[in-house]
Amino acid sequence: MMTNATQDTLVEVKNIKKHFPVRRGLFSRSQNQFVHAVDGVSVSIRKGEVLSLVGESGCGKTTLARLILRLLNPTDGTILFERQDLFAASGSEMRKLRLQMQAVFQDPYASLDPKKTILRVVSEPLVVNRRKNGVNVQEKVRESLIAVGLSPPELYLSKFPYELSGGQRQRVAIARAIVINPRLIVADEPVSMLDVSIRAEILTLMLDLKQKFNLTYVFITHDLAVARYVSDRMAVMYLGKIVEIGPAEEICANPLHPYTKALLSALPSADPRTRHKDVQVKGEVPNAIEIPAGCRFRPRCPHAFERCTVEPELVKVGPDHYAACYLAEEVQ
Amino acid sequence: MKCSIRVRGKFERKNAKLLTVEGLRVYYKTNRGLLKAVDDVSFYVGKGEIVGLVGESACGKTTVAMSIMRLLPTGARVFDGRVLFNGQDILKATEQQLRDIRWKQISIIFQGALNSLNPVLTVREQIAEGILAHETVDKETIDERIDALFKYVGLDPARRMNYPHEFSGGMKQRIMIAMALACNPALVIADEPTTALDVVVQYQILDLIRNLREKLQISMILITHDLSVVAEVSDKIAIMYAGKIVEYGDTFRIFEKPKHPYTRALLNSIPKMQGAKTPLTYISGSVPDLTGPVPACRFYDRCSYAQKKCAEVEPKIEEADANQSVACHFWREIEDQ
Repeated sequence: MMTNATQDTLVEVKNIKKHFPVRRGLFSRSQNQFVHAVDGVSVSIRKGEVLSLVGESGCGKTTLARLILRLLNPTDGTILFERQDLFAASGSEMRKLRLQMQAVFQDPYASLDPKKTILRVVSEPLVVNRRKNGVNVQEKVRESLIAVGLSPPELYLSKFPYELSGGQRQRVAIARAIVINPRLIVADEPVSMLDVSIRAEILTLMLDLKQKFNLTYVFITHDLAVARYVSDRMAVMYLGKIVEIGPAEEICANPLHPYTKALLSALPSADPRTRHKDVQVKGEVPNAIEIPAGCRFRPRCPHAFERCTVEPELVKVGPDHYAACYLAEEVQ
Repeated sequence: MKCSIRVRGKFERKNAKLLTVEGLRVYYKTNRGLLKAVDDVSFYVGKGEIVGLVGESACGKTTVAMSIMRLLPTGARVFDGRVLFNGQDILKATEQQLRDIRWKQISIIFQGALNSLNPVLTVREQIAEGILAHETVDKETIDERIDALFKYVGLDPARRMNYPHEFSGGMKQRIMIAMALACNPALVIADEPTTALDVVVQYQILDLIRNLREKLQISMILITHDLSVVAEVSDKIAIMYAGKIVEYGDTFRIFEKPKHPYTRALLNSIPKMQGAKTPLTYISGSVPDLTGPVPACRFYDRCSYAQKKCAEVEPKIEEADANQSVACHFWREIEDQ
């Protein structure tokens, strides 16, 4: 199975769950309810790969990313970073681990402190991780800015975020992420707030940096075309679970889970000649409080049958390709 | 007939111009001087036609829409141009005349529709408000009309007494569309109608837009930054860049053979789902500051084909063929490159 850690596994996610309690009114007598944001995900992230997490809003992709960064503690399950349990790590162990993981967030207008100069923004990981001693902070920041294409760096060091365009800000956010030479970067929708003409530039930059610094990316996006472009493997999430995972190209060409098929067919293609497709899936994603019994996709699935009342597991359906659907199993 | 939505007769010629925008210039007063948000923009919308207005943020597409509705914020001024709707210049209309045009003739689905419903009123009240502001009708008629509208946009009429928070994002967008159709307008302006929606819901809304056009023969201006959305539904597109239309014409023609360097670059910068994975090209640099002096061709700084002439002489939009116009001095020369 996919959870078998091998030499080249960087992060091992083992049946992780995160349920958020639903806050009720003060006098409410109703029982405690939970949003099942991530509901049993196992995946291994390999060294040097780009793994994209795709899915609609509310499918749990951001929660999963935050768990990988240990910005949240799980309800159940565990995550190993280089075979070290993230959630059992002590404060000082965690500090060492944090040096190896960084994040790039969606909104470069919100993720940079407006009161700090670019020098302070980018040097912050060095400061909070106590990496200041013995390094020339300015020099490090300069290198980082050059790496993300903001050169000459002197031009930017004393500027404030408001003086930069959206694309430049996202470059600063990336510079901040790479300044401590992490091994893993979790990028949460890094281009969705940017204009179309800028997106390609940032994506290309991120792929270049990956080569240059031997990075591993977890790339979260709702845009399947972007996912196809950047990633080696793609994991499609639906209501807190991975329903299909495999090589990105293979999933786009040969999707086996009905939900993946629906997502792909719903995608508007940038070509007017391929209009009027038929999307079979109906309705919208149900809320994650009352998860449908059996297969989560059953209420919307055009192919649902009796067996689907029992939740399917991810099974191998092709080389390195797994899907959680009984029909996909039969195809093989 | 009193309750249903009037279907425009087939006798109306499809190519008759419903709305014509001619030489529109809208400038904003800012601290740093005049910002030329829309500068000499012309296009028309035929009857039953969907025209896509495409461009990146701050290219002036929403300003065009707001000028048509005469809803420009203070500080914005129309310096020149005409907006002819059925022969009448909207820019010269009195408030009284505008009341007859807005919502009854031209309605708008605002950007960020998911947040533009009033949370403390039921959706019925909100749709009724728009109807009552323009027509004198009794309660029964309103309810019947809302029922019909709900059916049209694919909502359960029984839910008209619900509040906005009881609906999902896609359903709220359907309510906004129902609201825009409430007074049976001839033209609907949809400003980024699918931007905040997930792919499956986006597909459903685009499908609804297509159906409404078929059934009601409605005309539409679809404003979006997403080329694949216009590829999906629009008949014609106008590509805007820094306040100007740089390319305009038939959707199929433009996607098949884009002529303006900006359109070409834009199309090459979107990752595709079909075909081989090719490296993306991108447009370096950024949009010029529209308050300052801008190069004669506004794309000059970022264009890979730019020549001396482009900085000196402004390219006028010219017909490349019957279905496609382009504003570039060198479109012929670069066509096959």
